[in-house]
Amino acid sequence: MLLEIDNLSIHYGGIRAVENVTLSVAAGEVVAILGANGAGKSSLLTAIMGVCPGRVSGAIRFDGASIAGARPDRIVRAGLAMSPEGRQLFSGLTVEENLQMGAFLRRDAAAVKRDREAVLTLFPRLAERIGQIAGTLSGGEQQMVAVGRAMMSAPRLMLLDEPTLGLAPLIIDEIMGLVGEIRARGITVILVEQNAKKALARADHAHVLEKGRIVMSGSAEELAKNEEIVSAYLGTS
Amino acid sequence: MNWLPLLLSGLAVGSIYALIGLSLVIINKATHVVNFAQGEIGMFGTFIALSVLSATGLPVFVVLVLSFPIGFLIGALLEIVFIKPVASGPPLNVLIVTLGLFFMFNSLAGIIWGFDPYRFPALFPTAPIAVGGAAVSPTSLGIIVITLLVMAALYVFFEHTRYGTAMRAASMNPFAARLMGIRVGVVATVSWGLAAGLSVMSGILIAPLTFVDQQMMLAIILKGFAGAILGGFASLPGAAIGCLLLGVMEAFVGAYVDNTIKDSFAFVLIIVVLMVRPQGLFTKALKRKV
Ligand SMILES: Nc1ncnc2c1ncn2[C@@H]1O[C@H](COP(=O)(O)OP(=O)(O)OP(=O)(O)O)[C@@H](O)[C@H]1O
Ligand SMILES: [Mg+2]
Repeated sequence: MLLEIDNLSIHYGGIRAVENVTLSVAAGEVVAILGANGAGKSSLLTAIMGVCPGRVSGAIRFDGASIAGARPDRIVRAGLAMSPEGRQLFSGLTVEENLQMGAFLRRDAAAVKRDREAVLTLFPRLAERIGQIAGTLSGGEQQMVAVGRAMMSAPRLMLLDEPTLGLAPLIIDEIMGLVGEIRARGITVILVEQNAKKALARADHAHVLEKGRIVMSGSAEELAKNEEIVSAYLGTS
Repeated sequence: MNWLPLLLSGLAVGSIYALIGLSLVIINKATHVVNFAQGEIGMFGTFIALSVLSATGLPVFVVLVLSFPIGFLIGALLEIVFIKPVASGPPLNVLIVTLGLFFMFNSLAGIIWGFDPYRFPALFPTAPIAVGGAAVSPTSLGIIVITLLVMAALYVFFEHTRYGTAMRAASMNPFAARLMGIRVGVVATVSWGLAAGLSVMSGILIAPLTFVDQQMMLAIILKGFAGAILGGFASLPGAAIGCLLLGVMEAFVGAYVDNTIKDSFAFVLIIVVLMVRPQGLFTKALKRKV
């Protein structure tokens, strides 16, 4: 297993946001994590990246080595990257500089340059806007920068937190299509979504979170068959 | 051509303000406070430079070059020892710590070096040079040139190096910066180091013109702060230009209107400017972003 999470709990003060979550992700997979607002999806992802402001307990292992409690720079070096909820771009920097920051820890200039070309091939729209200040891009373009920036660290595991949030249907399909592109590059993906149907269509496995607990797990196919139950948990049925 | 020496001496004084103004902006970007102790750090570093100078007999220019790393170390240490422990609290707590540092350095300098002013050796030749019929002071020219070089170096660092860009990124979005593996705590330490380095340079540049004593930076930090706000506190180039402009205005008001009102004139003008352009003269109005 590439990522193993064991009995992970997250508290914010006295509030428990995630409770005893255990799950694992195999290399090459796309795993979807579904859940309604406040279910604890983002808490889980930020805890994996070492940037969760809450109190995190439990074990997180990446490629066999514990990363629980490690500094985020160590976690990025180990091969994880995240496109966070709400994109969180460096809004006053250009698209180019945002991508460059994704590769902040990398020293191999030639490899970084190759990855930059790859990202710009994947997102031709960003190539056109490479010198534009990121804060002035459209929502869809900003999401592309967030994903591209995460790819610039050459991760083995990418965490995508609600990449389609607030986007128009056409752009949603474009962004969702990326999941396949990322996987085709050999990158394992954890996809957090509220849009169960679209996420399940692209995932191998899925877990449904409710109030911080995993209430349903299985292959994406199985869960897609029980879409009504899933939707009930998401509060979208 | 009697405006030329006046312009240059105004720009020279403005350069001193600008070095302090830039340090205030750099710290504000990283730590979100105005560092009240900035001038006192400059003063303390100047005293250290003077001690090094008299103990080793090194050429004064070498000491000027050393002033940046000496200041950097002082600033970085201050951040680690005094600021980090309170940095997670409200900004007002940090502000109080900088006020504490102000008094600490002020009395420490008095205790170590006493309260009498010291002379600082000249950095530049003192005989005026003739330019187009006007007598120009090499000191003014020297201060301006050195400050411009420092500004150019800062520009290249912040705009065109990986770490400088990361420092800007950390200031815009510390959460995302940590996700990229940028150590935001280290960025704060480096910011304090850079700022203190600039402040000590400004102290050493002005020292030969005034004297070295505990009070030497009091007026300068106020002017540096005012000039930075005049130009736009959110932007390094804006702040620098504001400080230069303030120095020039003071020189001309002092010469043509009245020397006693030049300090208050500067502040009245700044208040008027801020009524019309709250964001300062040289920064674009901040747009709300979603
Ligand atoms: N920094 C924080 N401080 C205190 N409570 C928090 C913090 N972040 C999240 N929470 C709480 O933890 C719970 C889970 O939040 P989280 O953001 O992980 O949910 P989510 O599943 O990502 O929701 P959404 O779909 O709305 O993004 C919520 O009750 C939330 O209020
Ligand atoms: Mg969330």
